[in-house]
Amino acid sequence: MRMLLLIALAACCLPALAERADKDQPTIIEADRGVFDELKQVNVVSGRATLTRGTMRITGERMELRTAPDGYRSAVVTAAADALATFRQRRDAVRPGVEEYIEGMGERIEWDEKTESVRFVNKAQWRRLENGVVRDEITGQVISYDAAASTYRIDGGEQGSGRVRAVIAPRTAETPKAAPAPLRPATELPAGKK
Amino acid sequence: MRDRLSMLIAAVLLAVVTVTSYWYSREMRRPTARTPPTPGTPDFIVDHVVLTQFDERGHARYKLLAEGLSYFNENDDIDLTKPRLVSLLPDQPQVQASSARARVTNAGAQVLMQGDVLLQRAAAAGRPALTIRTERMTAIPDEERFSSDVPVLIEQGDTRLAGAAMDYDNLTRVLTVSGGLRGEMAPARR
Repeated sequence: MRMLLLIALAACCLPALAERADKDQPTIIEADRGVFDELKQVNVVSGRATLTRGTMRITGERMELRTAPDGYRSAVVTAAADALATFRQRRDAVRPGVEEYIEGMGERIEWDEKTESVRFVNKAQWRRLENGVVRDEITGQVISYDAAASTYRIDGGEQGSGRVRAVIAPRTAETPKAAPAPLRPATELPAGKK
Repeated sequence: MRDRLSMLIAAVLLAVVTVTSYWYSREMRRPTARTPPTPGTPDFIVDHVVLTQFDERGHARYKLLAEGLSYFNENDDIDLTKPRLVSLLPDQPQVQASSARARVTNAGAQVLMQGDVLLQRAAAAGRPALTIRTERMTAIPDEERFSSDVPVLIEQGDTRLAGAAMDYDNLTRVLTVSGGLRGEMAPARR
C-alpha cells in the first residue's frame, strides 16, 4: 500500500527554518578524489565525501555536484553499501537557551541550495533535536523538506513496511533538561558505516 | 721511341690520377677530427629565446618564451629556464604555462615543468578562467594533457580546490583530483 502523508505544519508545530547565516557561508567539499567535467558541468567526488556549509554538514560515499547557470548549487549524495548518507544542520534559535538541530539520513540525500530543500530517499529518517534530545522523529521511504514553504512531505513508499511513522513532541515552553554538552561537530561517519 | 715515350707519360698520368683519387677517398672516409661531446653538456645554449610553432597553413599555434635554452644533441632533449608557453589557437581560450625550469624530452612530446608551475586557461563562453598551481607538472602538449603527482591548488571562478595529485585533459575538459581533495566554493551571489 502506498501511503502518502503531507504535513504542512504551521510555524508553531515544526518551526524555525534552517540557520539563515548558513546561506552566506562558503560550501566546503572534502573527499578522497574528484572528477570535474567542465563540458558536462558535472562534478563527482567520492570516498568519505563531506559537504559543509556553515552549520550544515552532509556526508556520504559519493556526491554529484552541479552548479546551475544562476550560480546555485545542488548535490546528490549517495551512501556506501549498507550505510546511510547523513545530514545535520542547526536551526535558527527561536527560544533562548535552546539549540535545535535537524538530523536526517537516507540511502540518498538530495540537496538544493536555491530552494533550501533536502530530500531523503530510501530508509529515510528525520529528527529534530533540542539541546541534544530528540523531540520529533519521522521515518519513511522518502522525506522531503521544503524550506521555502516550510513543509515536510513524507512518502511511505512501496518498499519496506510502506508506513510512515512520526513522533512529534508536544509543544511546551519548557526547555529540555539534557545537558548541551554532547553537541559537537561530527568528525567521523556514524557507526555502521565503512 | 717517341711512341714508347708517350705511352710512358700516359701510364704515369694514369697512375697519378689513380693514386690521388684513392687518397681522396681514404681521406673522405676518415672520421672528422673533432672532439667528441662530453655527456651531459649542451650542444648549444641560447639566451632569451622565442620559438613559434606554426600549423600547416602558416598560422602560429604556440609561442615558447624562455630566459635560457640548452639543447642536448645526445638525446635531443631541451632544458629551459623560466619557460612560458602561450597558445595562440584562434578558436580556443588562451592557455599559458610557466615554471622556473622545464625539460623537453622525446622530441617535444613530453615536458616536465618544475618549480612555481602555473597553468592558466583564459575565461571563455561563460566558463571562468582556470588556474592550476603546483611544484611539478608533466605536460603532453600534443594531447593537451597535464598531470601532477605533488599537491596542487586549482582555482576557477569562486571555487578553490586542493588535492594531492591531479590530471587535467584540456580536450575533454575533465579534471581529476586524487588524494585529500578539499574544495571551497563561495556562496552563490543573489
